[in-house]
Amino acid sequence: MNLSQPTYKVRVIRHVTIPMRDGARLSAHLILPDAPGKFPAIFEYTPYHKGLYPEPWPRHRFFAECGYAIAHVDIRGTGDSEGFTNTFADPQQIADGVETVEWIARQPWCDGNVGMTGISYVGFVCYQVAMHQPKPLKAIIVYQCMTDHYTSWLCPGGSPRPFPFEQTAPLMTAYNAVPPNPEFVGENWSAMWRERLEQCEPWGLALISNLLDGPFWRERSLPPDFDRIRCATFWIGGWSDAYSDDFLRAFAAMKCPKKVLIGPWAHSYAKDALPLPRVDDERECLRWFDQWVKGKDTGIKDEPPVTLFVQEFCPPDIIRLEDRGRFQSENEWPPARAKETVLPFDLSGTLSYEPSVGVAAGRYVIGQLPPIWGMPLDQRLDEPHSLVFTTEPLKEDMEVIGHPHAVLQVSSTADIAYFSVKLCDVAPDGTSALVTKGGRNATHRESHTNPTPLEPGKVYELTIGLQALAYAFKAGHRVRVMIANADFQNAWPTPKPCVNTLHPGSRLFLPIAPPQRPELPAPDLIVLSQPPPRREQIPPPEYAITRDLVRETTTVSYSIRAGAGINHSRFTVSSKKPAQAVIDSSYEYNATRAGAAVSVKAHCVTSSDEKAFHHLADVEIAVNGKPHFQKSWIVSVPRQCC
Amino acid sequence: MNRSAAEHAVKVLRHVTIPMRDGVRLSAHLTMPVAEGRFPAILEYTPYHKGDYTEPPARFRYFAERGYVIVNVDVRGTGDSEGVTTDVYSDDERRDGYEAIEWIARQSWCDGNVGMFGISYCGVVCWHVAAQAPPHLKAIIVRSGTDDIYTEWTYPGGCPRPYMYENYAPPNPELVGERWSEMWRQRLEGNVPWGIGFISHQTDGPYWRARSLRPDYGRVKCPVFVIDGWADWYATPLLRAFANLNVPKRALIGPWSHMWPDDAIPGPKLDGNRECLKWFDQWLKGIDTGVLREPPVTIFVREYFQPTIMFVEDKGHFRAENEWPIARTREESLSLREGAFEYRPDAGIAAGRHGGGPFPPWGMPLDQRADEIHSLVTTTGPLAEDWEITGNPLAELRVSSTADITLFTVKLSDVAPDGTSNLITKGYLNATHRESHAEPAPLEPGKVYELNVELLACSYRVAKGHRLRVAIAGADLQHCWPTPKPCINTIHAGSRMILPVVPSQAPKLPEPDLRPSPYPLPRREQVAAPEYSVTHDLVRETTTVRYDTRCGAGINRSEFTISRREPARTTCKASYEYRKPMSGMDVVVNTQCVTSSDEKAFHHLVDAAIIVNGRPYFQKSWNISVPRAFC
Repeated sequence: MNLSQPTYKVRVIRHVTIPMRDGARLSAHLILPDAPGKFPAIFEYTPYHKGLYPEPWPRHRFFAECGYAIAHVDIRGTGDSEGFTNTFADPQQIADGVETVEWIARQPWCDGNVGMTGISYVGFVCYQVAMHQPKPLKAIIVYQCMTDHYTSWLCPGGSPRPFPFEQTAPLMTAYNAVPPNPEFVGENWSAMWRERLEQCEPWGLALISNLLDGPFWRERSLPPDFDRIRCATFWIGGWSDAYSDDFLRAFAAMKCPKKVLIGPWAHSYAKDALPLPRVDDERECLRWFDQWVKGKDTGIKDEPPVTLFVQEFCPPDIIRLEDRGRFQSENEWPPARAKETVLPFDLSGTLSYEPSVGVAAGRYVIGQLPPIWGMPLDQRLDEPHSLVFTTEPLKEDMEVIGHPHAVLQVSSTADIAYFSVKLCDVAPDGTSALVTKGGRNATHRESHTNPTPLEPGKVYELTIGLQALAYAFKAGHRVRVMIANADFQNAWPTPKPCVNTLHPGSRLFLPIAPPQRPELPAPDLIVLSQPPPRREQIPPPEYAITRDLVRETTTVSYSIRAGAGINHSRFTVSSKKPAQAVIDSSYEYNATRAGAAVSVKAHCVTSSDEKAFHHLADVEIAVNGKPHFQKSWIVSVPRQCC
Repeated sequence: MNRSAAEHAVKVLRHVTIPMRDGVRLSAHLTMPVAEGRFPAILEYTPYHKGDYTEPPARFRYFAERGYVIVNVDVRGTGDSEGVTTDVYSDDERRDGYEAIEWIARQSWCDGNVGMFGISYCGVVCWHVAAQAPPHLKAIIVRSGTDDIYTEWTYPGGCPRPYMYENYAPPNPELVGERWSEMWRQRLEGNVPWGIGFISHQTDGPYWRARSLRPDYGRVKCPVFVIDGWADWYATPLLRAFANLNVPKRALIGPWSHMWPDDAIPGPKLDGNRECLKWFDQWLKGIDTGVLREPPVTIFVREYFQPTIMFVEDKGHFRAENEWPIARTREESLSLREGAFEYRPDAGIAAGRHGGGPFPPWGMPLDQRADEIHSLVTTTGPLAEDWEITGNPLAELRVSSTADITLFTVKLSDVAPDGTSNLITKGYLNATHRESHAEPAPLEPGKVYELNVELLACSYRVAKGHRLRVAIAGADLQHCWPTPKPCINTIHAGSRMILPVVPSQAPKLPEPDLRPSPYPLPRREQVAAPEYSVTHDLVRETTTVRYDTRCGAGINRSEFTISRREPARTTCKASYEYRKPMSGMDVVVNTQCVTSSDEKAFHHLVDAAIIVNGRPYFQKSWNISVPRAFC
């Protein structure tokens, strides 16, 4: 195969500044082939402080050895770049990114062709820049992130997701208040820091102020106008992360050269990810960039563009080190041969709303407790407060590949209610494993921008998309559907006690895929064969669920190391007063600057009552143990059908 | 009907001393009529510190106004009595009770007729004293006092009861001195925490028999009135004692938790003093109160109630019966599903602390579905007619285990049409105790054994359209210390549940002669709540039950942690803080108990620290490890 080889030595140039149109300068580390000449470039654009670990990072070294010039750039207001940042996925950073692509293409070490890649935040900035179609940008490889920040991140199904307030809000509040490094930016560091502290606003403020969809989210998201992406796009995701469903929808809608690879993985690069099996994703990325940025014919264009890991039953466990299943090629997504099939029972019944349902849901598809703690537990834990429908044992294996959806006929005694739908695989011993799930706030049945209250007692048709899957149910197993009115680790509880009814005619549609005929060749992947690590080798978080039996509250608490520091969170929901939920979260970032110990502590309290959401953010900075800076912000916004 | 009327003014004589055979003097407060003459007397004998009162407690005043002398005595080594206490229900304490009865009968204010009553510990001592048949003891009233200390209190089903170490061990009430004196010093040096006795006697035997009435009921010669509640621990042993006694007897079982009927929740409350007066007037004063013509058994028949952590009033009604067990009972056999289940040491989170731990009863059983997921469940179809289950259901199981030790818990529930599963009653048996609590024997893994698990007595009407459910599991963490070995247990074909189904009375007996309590039921919000939570550490796979409550004179905190992965490793950390200002001194007694288990042994560590006026005054630790004896 015609593929670049890692033959170059590598050199690193630290803190090259990139001037923006308004005078602000972004800081870049360059990781270059140590050779004369011009090279195609790969741009990685991060809010997570490129200087946190010394360059060259192993991935950067690999691509530089293969003849790519890597520009690792801090987003404005973060790391060693100038300015400040006030909102998540900010349009300013997109404009800066477009300018940076053009700047890179002009550099003497660049041949004028640029690729972009990254994971998570560093991933979505790739398509944000690509949407503006800067000419030098030839290809992007986007890992493990959402294209729609509203429906796939902040408010899936129209209910706020705790995660952005448990983790993103305190983490980024702390990150964005950390001083730049004088080792790179020189004496100017304290003036830069002062500007940051005076100007920057915690990102949580804008999040809580935009709990409905609208222009704020549309200018940050790719949907609905997928045609804006013209460069070659490769999506890589994992079933144990949150965003495969979103990716696959984007993939299906796009008209540019495209490829998608979905493994079993959580929120990491596929070479290092859990659960196993891992693949050598650097090779896949090299093939993509060689093809589209270097202009080599790597053969990747001729392969089926879709590679999926087809999962099988795994006994539920809080940590999953290895998944069962196989990689499979498909010519398209969703596979044309998959037929939507209605599950053979009517989903009907009546259910009292219990806000603490979801104790077994895990931090599934969040990647929040890295690397792979927090997987869903035996779903029977949540059955007591769910409507449960189970098929007879399957007579033969059944593969489900695509986006399942439920069409429910619902009514509620309240004017707001949430419906969660979970699809489970029930083993012969009764264990119930979560396969996929979805949920929708019924007031968002028609629109996320203009939700409308329910008329109590009136029957509405509610369509709920379940997360995409490729899953093989085994003969002898049973398929189970669980419907509840909460999934508290994934959706902020709706405020009103109620009794909800599913009326006859409610159905679940599964995309059932017969075997391929003819069978496509096995994907051209290097699956890394390695024994799974031992459970004890995976650093454990603190993660507990506490039921206060007297107050009738349920609290999920965790502490994890994330990025540069430690994130703590406690999220409490009330069975008696569902309107009252609260997240108390914090993040602490410790750094050394000019010989001084700098400690940045961010504390966020996000809470709700009958009428409003409230978000309090507080930053406390100490230098060598002495108070240096403190500031608090507070905002309250009406609930607006959330 | 004749009964004594309230006719006397009442006075309290404080700290009257009662000399014992070895010179130790017990301290008594007397609540008595302000009147000349001799009166029948009632002994209440307590280790919980009769206290410092100058105004009599309401129950004592009630009887004194009606011509009784209430003699409230501190057990040796506690309160204001001299001596030391080295063990629960010690030989000395039991003998002291006999001597106290006889001393009372000799006093100038006593007419020679003595009764005894008490609740809980003070109820058990009634059995102890009555079993010695002191000549002047004419009647007893036992409220919540078990006839068997081992099976109902310390080792239900043959496993240690966590409550003993969460709540009972750390208070060390015997350690708490109230007087700055040599007496206190002697007590501090000589007393031994009772938890050491509990943990050191894991199997039944002479230690527990000496403290239990069962099985020699014939020792009791005086008339007996037993009172208990379905939300308490001892309805079963008191009904068993009632059935076995050959003396004039009466039983009253209400819906209550561990309190006198006048004040108990869940209600309805009763005028319990009136019922006790009928008994004592009959047997101490010789008044014909009519109680002998009443049916001797009164039970509260419960009905379905949406399970909740605490409720102030139960649903159901009181009914009279001529005997216990009820003669017209028919046995219904329910065959149980065969199958295997994994032993989950965290099963039992919905079981509540039902039965005596918390009073007020914060900790009633919750919707059983939370535990049924870890159980082998058999559910009937909807009942075609109401079924009243009154008596002790019996599970006849055919079981095997992959381990040589395991517990079987059997829960009987009422499943409402909406799916809610409400606990009716339950039973436990450590299978190594299948033949004997005194000589347990390990299981042979894989071998099938017949195991009879008797469920606690109940009286419950299951409504037509509801379903009955039997859930069998391997643990009930709030009631039984988890067995040490991971295992898979199997229920084999031929296992069944035998239900005592009681048809309507024909002819109908008259309504019981009962009166409501003069004290109204509180509202739920008025009932002081503990801290009570269950935490699942999802990473370590442990479950911790925390319970913090004001209890007696202080605050009890406990944390009971079990491990799913290593069920042998269980830890109970408990503490009690007793603070009492007295005669210008501030005395704080802090006790801590750590009770833990591993594969081989139980460990019990007790630490007591006393601070007087902010300064350390006394500190002592005890530490004991004992091998696990099949539990």
